[in-house]
Amino acid sequence: MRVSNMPDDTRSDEDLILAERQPASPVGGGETEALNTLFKRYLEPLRWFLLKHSWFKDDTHLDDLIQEILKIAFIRIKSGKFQSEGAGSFRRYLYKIASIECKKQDIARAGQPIPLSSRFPLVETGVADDVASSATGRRGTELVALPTATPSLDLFQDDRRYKKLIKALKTLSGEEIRLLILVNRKIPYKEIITYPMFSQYKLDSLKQKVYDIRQKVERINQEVKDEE
Amino acid sequence: MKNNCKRYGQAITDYVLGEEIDCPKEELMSHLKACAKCRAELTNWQDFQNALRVKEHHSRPEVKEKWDRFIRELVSPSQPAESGRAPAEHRGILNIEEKVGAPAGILYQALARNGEVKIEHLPQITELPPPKAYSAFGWLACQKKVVMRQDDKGTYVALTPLERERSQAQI
Repeated sequence: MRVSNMPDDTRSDEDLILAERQPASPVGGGETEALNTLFKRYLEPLRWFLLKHSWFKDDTHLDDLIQEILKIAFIRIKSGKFQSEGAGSFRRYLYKIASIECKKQDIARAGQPIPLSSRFPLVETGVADDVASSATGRRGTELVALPTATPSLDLFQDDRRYKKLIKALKTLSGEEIRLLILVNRKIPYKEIITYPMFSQYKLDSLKQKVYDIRQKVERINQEVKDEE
Repeated sequence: MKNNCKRYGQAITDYVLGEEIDCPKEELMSHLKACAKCRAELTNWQDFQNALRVKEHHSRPEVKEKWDRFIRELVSPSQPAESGRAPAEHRGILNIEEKVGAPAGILYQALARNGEVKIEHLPQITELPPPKAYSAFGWLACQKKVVMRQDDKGTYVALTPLERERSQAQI
């Protein structure tokens, strides 16, 4: 049985690309399954990244964009344009493609031409906590507080962050998750308390419950941060 | 400032969820401008909501199947790597599930919300262009999820009683 056929392929991204690139032989190489595994790994983090950094929130639009990003990554891997530069280089490369695609979407929305310099942004440095919420430095929401002169983004940080959030999500109870799914779908508290499974709550106690869950998530986030 | 933060905790929670907040919005905004800790909390909460949305989306079997198929087709050896273009006989062929199936989901939700509607109103209630709205209707009809009724005033469509129940039970 090849390693890639096992339920959880723990090989690094770069090892998977290598496995695909090497000529097929009795001991391995030429594994198309390797890229399959690689791309599946990034479906969820990429969607989260786009949700966080782009203005569009529509699922079909997000699907189109993720497909586009994966196609670009695939073509570059196959054509040899992507060269591994050690651990994490593919992840960095993929998020760079994603941030460029975000930028293109931003610009298409504004109807402006794409300046050459912006097509190859260098976005390797850290994020100040008041940085704009768009990958491109454009304001996605009104929640952004202070203007920042240099749009910058630590793409690695984003990938780690998503994993952290999922860790936090896994610690919640079934009831808490069901409640969060409802509020996430923008169902008003007033309506939620009419559902049989939440009938024990009054409006205030439900509000408090959601607040408590947020505090819990915040604490778990903090614990994961401390462990690191 | 710390006491203030406690005061805005609930408002931050509710604001991200689109709920009414228990202080003036301008007041919350000016606090967020001034307080990095609360800004970080707000970003964390937004990020968490997005992560939940992504997890929920990807836990659906049809989504999993769709992506499995897309990636399998993308990485299959028959795909020409350099150009990234599909073979000539496949060029211009659209993914039906994506182009019709997705609008069908929108139509389903719209019918669940609106009940019985006139067939010519499908584009309005779904906010889809007419060809998409009607092809979505065809999709649902094939799946036996909709019923049609005709009288002197026109033709009406609605979800089947079973689907109506299902759509209500979903929440």
